[in-house]
Amino acid sequence: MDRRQFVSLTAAAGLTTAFPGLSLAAGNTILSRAIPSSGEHIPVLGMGTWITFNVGRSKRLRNRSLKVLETFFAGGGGMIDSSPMYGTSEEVIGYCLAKLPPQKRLFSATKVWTATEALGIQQMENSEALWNEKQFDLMQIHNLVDWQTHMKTLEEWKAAKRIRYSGITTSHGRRHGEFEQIMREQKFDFAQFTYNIADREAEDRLLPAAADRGMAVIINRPFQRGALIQSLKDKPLPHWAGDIGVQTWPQFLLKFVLSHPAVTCAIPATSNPAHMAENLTAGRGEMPDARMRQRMLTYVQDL
Amino acid sequence: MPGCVSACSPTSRIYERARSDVIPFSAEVFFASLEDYNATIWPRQILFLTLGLACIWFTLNPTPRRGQMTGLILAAAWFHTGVTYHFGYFAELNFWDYLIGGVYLMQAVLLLIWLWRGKFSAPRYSPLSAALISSGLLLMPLIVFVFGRSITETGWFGTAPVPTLVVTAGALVYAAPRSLVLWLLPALASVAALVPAVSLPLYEDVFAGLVLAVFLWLLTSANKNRDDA
Repeated sequence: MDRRQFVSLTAAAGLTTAFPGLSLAAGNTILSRAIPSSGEHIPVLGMGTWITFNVGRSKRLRNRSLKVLETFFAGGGGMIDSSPMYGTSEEVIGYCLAKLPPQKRLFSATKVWTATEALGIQQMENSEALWNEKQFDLMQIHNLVDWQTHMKTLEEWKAAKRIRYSGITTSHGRRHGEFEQIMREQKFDFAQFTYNIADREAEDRLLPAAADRGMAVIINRPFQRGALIQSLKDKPLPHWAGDIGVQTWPQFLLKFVLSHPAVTCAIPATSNPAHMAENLTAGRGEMPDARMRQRMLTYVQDL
Repeated sequence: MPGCVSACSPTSRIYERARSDVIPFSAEVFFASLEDYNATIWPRQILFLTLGLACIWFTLNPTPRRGQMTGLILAAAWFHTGVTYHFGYFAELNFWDYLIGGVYLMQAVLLLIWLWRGKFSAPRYSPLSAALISSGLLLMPLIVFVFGRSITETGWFGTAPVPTLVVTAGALVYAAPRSLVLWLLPALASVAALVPAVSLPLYEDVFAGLVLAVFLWLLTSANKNRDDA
């Protein structure tokens, strides 16, 4: 079954009542992993909001985002990750959360993305207002922007219980050398970076550093912003895909990322509720072991 | 993995990073926002359309102070586009609009300075001017029908960047052909307009490419004329 067929089926059946993957797995909760610094468990699938939640003032598009979020929580998702850099995304998250009943599983994560202490504090307080969150679960320093300054603020906020965890982020393979050095020398709870079956640079340094230092790892761009799905969608899945509960390429790609032992969660982004439902199914059932991961990689490389 | 090689090579990764960093929204969001923006600022589109038609009139008829009037209309259009379109609306979707809006304000100021210095005092007749102004005023907004969109999802002179660029190209050819400084920021703004035009894509904004080509050609020929003089 490809993504299009999956989406057609789920759309035809109605979004809230019959996602086949979700209903079949109703008694089968999404996997969770521990945050090493606290032992608290979070679902292995979260949600990114870069581009997909930057929908501006359009009511129609905001309500579609609401459907995505409803599907996300109904399917067992936990972390929502955003940033002040993402245009109206934080405002749209706030709009959607206000329309939903309180979500126990919500793990709110955003970023500080500016220079200077004063502007950083102003930006984080603005994020609190946009999300209507009194205490973010995770505040990250976006793309290492003025990280020395913000690190001190995050430590103070953590001590004052204004945030629960701190983190640093990068994406697209930017500044991995400096990022690894910070991971090894500073004390952050989370590290977020890009990792997927075609961009495995993080395997060399960042994932081992996170394991060594006991940091939780958030993976962004698990589909290379859709490019991987586009390039694989017409190729056949391997005949053994069913052995790891995989029916579609997005599930295949997510299972590959999630099965790395150092990964805590992945945050695929989508503006399509049916795609969200499909993504969440990858967080259920068996995960590939090391041998199966190698088999998956070899198969994709040979296509 | 042939498909993945093209999707994940270092070159495509750099391109994709640049593209997603510069345009952090989809075409669907862009058109929904443009529709909302047009409704918000209505009926200023009509005001600027009228001013644009006046520019065509000035181009074809020897009216007193027509060069200065054209310069003033252009300054108003650049100021309004910078303040309302970039700062007031699209900057909330894309932080780069603060920078581009600044370019529009700078051009408005430059136009006023050039007006004050009397650089718009000797306009010359140019059929290219009338053609370019007309295409920016009417052809560009109406061409959206060809692409199956509504008139509410299009940009207009004085309220959106690309039609303003096209009309400016036409008006400057006629009103201030030798003032090279006035071409620089529109050329920069044309490059900025080309990025979403190509990557979203926005087919009607391919006109921005035409504008850029005209700018470059004019810059070259104006320089040549100056060398000849």
